[in-house]
Amino acid sequence: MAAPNSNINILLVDDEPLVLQSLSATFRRQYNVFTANNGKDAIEVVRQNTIHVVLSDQRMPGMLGHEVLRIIKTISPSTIRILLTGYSDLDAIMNSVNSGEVFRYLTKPWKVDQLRETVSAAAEIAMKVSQVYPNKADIMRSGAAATAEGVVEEEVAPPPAPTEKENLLIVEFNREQLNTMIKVFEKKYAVLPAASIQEAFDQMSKNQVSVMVSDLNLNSEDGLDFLYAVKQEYPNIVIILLTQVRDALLAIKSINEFQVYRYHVKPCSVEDLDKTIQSAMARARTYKVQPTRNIHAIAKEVAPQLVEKEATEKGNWWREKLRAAKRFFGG
Amino acid sequence: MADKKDKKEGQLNFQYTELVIYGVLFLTLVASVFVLNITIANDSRRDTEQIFCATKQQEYWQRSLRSLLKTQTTQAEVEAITSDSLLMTMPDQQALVETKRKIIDTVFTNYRHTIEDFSKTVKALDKGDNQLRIEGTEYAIDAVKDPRARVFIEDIAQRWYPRADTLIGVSHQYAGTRKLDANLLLASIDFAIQNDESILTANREFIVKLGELSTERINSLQRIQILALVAGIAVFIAMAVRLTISLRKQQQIIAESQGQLIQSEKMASLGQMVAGLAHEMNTPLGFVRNNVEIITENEKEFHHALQQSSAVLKDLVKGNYADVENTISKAIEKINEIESIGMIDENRSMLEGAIQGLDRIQELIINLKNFSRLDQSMMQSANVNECLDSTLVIANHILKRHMTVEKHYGQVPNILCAPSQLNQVFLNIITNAAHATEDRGRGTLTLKTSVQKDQVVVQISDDGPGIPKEIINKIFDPFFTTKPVGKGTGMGLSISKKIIEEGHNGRIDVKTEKGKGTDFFIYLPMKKSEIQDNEKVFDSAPVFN
Repeated sequence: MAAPNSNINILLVDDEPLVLQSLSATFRRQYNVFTANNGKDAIEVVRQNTIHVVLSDQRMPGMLGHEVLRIIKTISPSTIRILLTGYSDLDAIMNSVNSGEVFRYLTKPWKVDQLRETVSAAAEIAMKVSQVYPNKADIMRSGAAATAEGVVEEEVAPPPAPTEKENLLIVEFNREQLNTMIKVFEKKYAVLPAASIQEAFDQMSKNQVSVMVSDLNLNSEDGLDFLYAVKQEYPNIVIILLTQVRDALLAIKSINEFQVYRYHVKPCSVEDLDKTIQSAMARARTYKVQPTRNIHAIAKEVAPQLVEKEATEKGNWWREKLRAAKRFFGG
Repeated sequence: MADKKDKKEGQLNFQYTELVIYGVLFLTLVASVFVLNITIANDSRRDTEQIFCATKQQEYWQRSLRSLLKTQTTQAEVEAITSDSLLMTMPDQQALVETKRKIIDTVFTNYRHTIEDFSKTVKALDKGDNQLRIEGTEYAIDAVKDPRARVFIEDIAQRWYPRADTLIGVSHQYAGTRKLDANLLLASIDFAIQNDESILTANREFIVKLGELSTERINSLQRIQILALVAGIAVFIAMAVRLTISLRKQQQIIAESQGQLIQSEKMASLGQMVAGLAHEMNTPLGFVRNNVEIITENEKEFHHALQQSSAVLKDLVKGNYADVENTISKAIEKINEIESIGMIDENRSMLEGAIQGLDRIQELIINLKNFSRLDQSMMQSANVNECLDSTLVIANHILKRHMTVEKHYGQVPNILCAPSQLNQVFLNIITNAAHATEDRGRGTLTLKTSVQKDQVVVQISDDGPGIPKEIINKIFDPFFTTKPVGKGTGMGLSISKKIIEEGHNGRIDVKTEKGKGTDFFIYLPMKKSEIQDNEKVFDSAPVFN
């Protein structure tokens, strides 16, 4: 049996006492377990304790899981957040893809092994990240005004935008749509167009890409594999999905496999997409100066087995190609 | 779906085209009958004029002939007197001759007029004349064209034309000279007498023929009119039949699409139910599975401890004391570990939890059965309180987040009803209540049941924003919905009303107050579950041998 690691505090949130009992039994030997049966209590627990990992149910009376996680993120950015969802919650998830920068979405009913693996990876990441946020009290004080009902997203301010344009990679197989997007965004960003995966690889090898807007339907190639490979090789690129399919399962996969930043459904308004790109740029700058904010990158280091598990053969194949392209261009 | 719509539109277009075709056909028929009538009326007028002309011709001919004969006899008398020189000397005689000559003058003048008129009529009937003067009146006479009548006109003309000059000439000659050429006169009389019969006959025959032709025409007109009438009726009937068919079809289409909507509403409520059920089951399933896995892990530890303990016991039984010291410490360590973690208590609570979870799943399944009652007959004795409870379980996933449920159930008797349909009604109203309070994030759902006279009353209330006055009269209308496209069919309440009013002879009422909430009242008549009159033991009379 694993030695009890009482340094790590985990918080379980569910409105169902039997679920809490069951989950506590699962984790109590490895971690210090806190429980809460609603969002408000959960936030209170996070305020008063250093919580490394929070595992929350999505559907609860009062506050929904993803809202709770979003608030927890502002109070304690180092806490790694995991969401448990049932299939009937998928609609709610679609409307707020990754608003709480959730580390993993797990679907009910879960498997104990998978749950333990995910939580232990999260715990390791949390231990590493928490070194960067040693003074949680400061954040607590600054966020003291934040109540459970109305917490404004209070990020640590990202570095200001540089004077030169930042690189925006747009991957779109439809030339017409690609040209439209180039026209719309070329004034604000240094747009790098790519109409094929090969072109995308070339662009990434030659330039330092900050943000990438990509479709999932890439000429019969599975976009998921491609994006997985990209995220593996370039963990600092912030990925925005722009796709016609509104599919919550796909969104969950995108988060779990390559930490998609936002999921936009075509057609969307230029303003919305631009807003997302701007905040993605800010996120990319944050990653540059604070690598520990990039949970995915850390996960790759501390729990490679968890990340590798998501890989498919095709994804690895793309990864190889990407590496080759990188070597070729001396990236 | 779009395809079907196109097809329907195509059908509609086709029907309009067909209608236009019928209309045009009908109008053409009416118009052609009119045109025919007018033509035939014109023909008749022409015929009348021709007959008039022919009659006059006959008259002129006869008068001419008479004048001619009279002239001849008078001339003969004059000659007789003048040849008798004796008589001529007498002054009386002279005067007599003079009188006779005057008679000849007038008669011959008459002759001249009538023969000229006769000639004109002959020409008019043969070649047409737009301004034929007959007795001071002008007539427009058309040439006779019908070959059957023309035969007679031509006969007259052929007889007349070669001698016209002679017969008219003799009169002119006399008018100029007052002398009668005896030869010419004789020739004229000769011709006249010779042809009198033929000309009169031809003239008569012509008139008779025209009469016959006119009758024929009238007959054919009548026939055509009757035909047109029949054709008009046929077109009308065809139109009526087609219209009836298309109306029937449209009715059928409307009925079909209504049926489809009712079906889709049923499917929607089924979908809601399944979603609710899936969510409700997922949670117990999740923790039961988790518990079982933990129990399995713990069981390994127990097994381990048991193995070590039995090893100790075996060593003791065998007297193998040397090893006992070693095995005992190991076993105690294991047992201590199990005790310190509280594994036995944990296992017990995990088992209890699992059983509770399984009970809950079982309850859900029973509820599902109660809710749908698929395995039971339609009308049966049931209690509305139970119906409400099973509906609440199904609706739990939409209520759970923000609604508090208050139950004020009265002692209500079982009533004869279709529970699955009532559940559908309750679920509908409860769902609406949940949606109405969703924006505010909290709400209270109150369920009341009571008995009033011979009715069971179910009251479902929420404290939502209420229904606006403008739409309160529309909420039971089919297709009326305030929800965005794709979220509601707009059939829920209309079907609910149908279920209550038509299926249960009950009544559904709504009271709403802005900002305070909405109350739905469902009145269901109490009926004892009677044994049907036609109930039989056997489906046919038993036969005993």
